[in-house]
Amino acid sequence: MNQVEALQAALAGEHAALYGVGVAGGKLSGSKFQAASELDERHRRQRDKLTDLLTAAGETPVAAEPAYDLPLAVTTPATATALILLIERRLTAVYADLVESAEQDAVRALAIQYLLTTAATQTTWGATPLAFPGTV
Amino acid sequence: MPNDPQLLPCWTTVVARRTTLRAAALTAGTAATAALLAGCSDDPSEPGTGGSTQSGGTKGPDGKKQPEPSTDPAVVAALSTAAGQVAQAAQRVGAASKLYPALAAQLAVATKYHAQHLAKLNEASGTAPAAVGALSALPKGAAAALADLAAREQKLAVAHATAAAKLSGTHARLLAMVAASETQLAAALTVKKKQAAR
Repeated sequence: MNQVEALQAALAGEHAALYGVGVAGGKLSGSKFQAASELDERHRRQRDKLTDLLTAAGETPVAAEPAYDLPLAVTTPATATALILLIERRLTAVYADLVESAEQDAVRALAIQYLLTTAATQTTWGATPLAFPGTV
Repeated sequence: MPNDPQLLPCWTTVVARRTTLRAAALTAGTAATAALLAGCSDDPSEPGTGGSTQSGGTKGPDGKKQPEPSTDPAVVAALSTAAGQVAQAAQRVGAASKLYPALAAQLAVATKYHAQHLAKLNEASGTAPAAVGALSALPKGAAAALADLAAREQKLAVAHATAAAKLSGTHARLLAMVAASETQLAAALTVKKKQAAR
């Protein structure tokens, strides 16, 4: 996997995350809904940044799918939280791939920042720490 | 590449492209969907690949690629420094567990993960484990000790993320994942500190 492929994979991940967090947010309320809204906004910023990087590299950023199948039925706050945790955990692996594949310092620094952010988000949403977040 | 299901990283099993799943279900029934969703094993205890083809690594006993010992002095220095810092943190956590037995259970995860971080960093640096200097005194009181450990864990995360940014490939990935783990440990210790204060 080279840097462009890893960037495209990360962008595809952010597209999917935005969809999933949007669905999850619909089942949350109060402070959890607020947290989901903030998470949605962060994923939007990350998506835009990745899009900019790919465009600047002369690549065509991968587009979002019209819809995604969810791995679990999101019907309650608990299942909504479980989906968010799953998304963040898998995104951590995508960003670890980008850290490894990065050929430019700026891309590596960004990937590390996003890796740490997604890892921290998991804890915020109730996950226990992992020895090596980003391992799949 | 991103549209090729064979090469997609495992996260796509979380929110799979509907078209992919539909095609799989049509060709192989519902079992195909289940297999796709179960395609990744989340083993939190092993650093490995998320779906990339890595360079510069050797396969470990589990078949995953691991960072191989570096001969680059700058890489060795970065990994050795990180190993020394983790060893110091591990010793401090151990001391806190002994001094405040009530914290031992809360600190068990940190103890376990520090050992795993240290093993991987020593392996990747290819050098002998760093000697650990004398510890500064622990704060008085369990809550203060926990807060101290959380703050130090967060500082470690920043230091290791900074160091990772100066490396590349599997070594950068290893240090970045260690930093991510330290961020999670810091947050977990902070949460528990808040719970203890209630």
